Amino acid sequence: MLTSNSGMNSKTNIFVSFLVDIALGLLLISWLYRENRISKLADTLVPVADRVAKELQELLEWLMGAPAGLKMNRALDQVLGRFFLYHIHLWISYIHLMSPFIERILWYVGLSGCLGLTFALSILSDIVALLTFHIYCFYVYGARLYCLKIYGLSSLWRLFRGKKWNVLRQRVDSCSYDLDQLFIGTLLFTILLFLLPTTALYYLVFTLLRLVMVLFQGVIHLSVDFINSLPLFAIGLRICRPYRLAEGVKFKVLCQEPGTPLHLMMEINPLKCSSVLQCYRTPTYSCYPKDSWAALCKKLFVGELIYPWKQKTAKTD
Amino acid sequence: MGADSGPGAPAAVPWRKVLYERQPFPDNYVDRRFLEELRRNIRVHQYRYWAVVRETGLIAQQVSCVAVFFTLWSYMEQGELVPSAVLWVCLGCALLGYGLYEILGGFCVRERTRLADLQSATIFLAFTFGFSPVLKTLTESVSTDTVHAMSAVMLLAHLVSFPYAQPSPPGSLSLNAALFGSVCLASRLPGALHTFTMLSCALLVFALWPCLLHRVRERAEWSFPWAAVLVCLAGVGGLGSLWPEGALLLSLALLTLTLVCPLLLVHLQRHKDNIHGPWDEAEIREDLSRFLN
Repeated sequence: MLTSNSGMNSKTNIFVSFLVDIALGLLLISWLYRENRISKLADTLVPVADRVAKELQELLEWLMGAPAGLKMNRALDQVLGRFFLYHIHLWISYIHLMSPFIERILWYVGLSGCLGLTFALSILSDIVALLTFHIYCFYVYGARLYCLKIYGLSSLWRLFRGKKWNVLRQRVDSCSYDLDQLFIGTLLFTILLFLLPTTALYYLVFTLLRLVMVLFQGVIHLSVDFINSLPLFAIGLRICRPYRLAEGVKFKVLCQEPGTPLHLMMEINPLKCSSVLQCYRTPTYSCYPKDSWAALCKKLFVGELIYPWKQKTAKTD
Repeated sequence: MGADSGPGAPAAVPWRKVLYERQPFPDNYVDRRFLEELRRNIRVHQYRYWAVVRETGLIAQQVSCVAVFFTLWSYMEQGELVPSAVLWVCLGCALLGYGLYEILGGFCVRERTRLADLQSATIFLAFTFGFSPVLKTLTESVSTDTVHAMSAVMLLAHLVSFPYAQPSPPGSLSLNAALFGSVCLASRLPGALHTFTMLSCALLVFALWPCLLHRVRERAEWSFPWAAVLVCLAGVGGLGSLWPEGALLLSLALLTLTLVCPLLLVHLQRHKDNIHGPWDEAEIREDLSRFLN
């Protein structure tokens, strides 16, 4: 009974979810466009972006000093700090350039909520991503610098010990280097080693900021996913017409007398609610975390860029 | 061991030490030639005292090199040596050493052309000069004690890992450790030119001097002890002008290294007990129950 109806059920589930989504979206629009909330939102948006940029500036000033009592290499600290401060300055100018158009854009974007609550949530996630674009840029700069440094350090550490990486055999072999190779290699190794704490601190700070953003986006995506995949029709069916979803049958003995045939009553065992959710969940283009915790930690340590909420490209059941 | 009380072994068939033939003896049977092929101490080298003392000259002079380098650094830190003067002296010594190297080599076929040598020298000088401002501020935020400790550990690692048997291509770890230690020390000096000078001195003392010494040992064996003694005296004298107790300690250490350690080596040679030769399987006949309780 389950298999023959599952095709109809999944289509009905999707249809009902879609209707509920649109209804919620229209509700959101009616709430948003009442009392001129859009313009109020637009008015608060630019000061919020300004505030975020200012906080970042203060963070960079703190890093350029002696953060948490750690002593950093002054020259590199100043260079990196000034570089990032100039980016923030560019970003603030960009925001101020865009500020007259914000209200109009928001008005039109809010209209798209009639396509469903999930659509509105996705747009919100994209807007947040656009507003925190500079944090993403800083993260990429910091991660690339750190990755380069770690790669250089590991290679030069092998040179320090007199070994090299054999690409053909994928192992570490001993190697007799020339005098100039040794000299320059040691100089570079010393420089990279002493500049490591400064770079690592910048990388750590920007990675933490980026992780906060990623977490926020992940929460939005998960809720979108949840709304899309909830089998409302099946739940409604279970509540109102439980005999439509059967797990098995129960037999009750009606009359059992020696001369007459056995009379039994058959009752349908309805599906448990948790199994309803499990069986009838609509498969969606969900974005699950791509790496396990261990792989994520390793990527963070080495300095590879992380995109933990990569979309799955193929639909899976 | 086995021949007298062999388990029913027929005396007609002699036992052979092979396993590819079926013999009436058990596999672990060995006749009275048990351990006959055992040899003891066949490759033991008989050391003579004064030859060993001569060889330890290399270790002693390397320790004194480190002392000489430290003396130079101390004087530059106190500001008593002008970096430009030291640079000219270094250049002069380098040219002198290069000339000596060529003369001792006898102008025979060389594996590196003079152009390659010039190229190497230019690369060294350019890189060191270019990086010296960076190197100067490298350890600013590290405390002085840490810097001194790191340099001491690195120079010790250099002494320990130095390839005393074949010093001519300098060993990677020893040279790198010495350079790392000298960069740590050089970053404490007052100016970028001081740092550049210090690194050039380090290059001369740790990278080029062992090559020259090796060439001297190869071609003019008689002058090697004199060179070693000269370097040791320079090390002790330099340290003495800074810190007399240190000089005393250094001279004590050098004397121990050169005179006492070879004595120990020669004396302990007679306790050497190396066994060589193939193994024979033994059958345990004792009562081991006294070990098991």
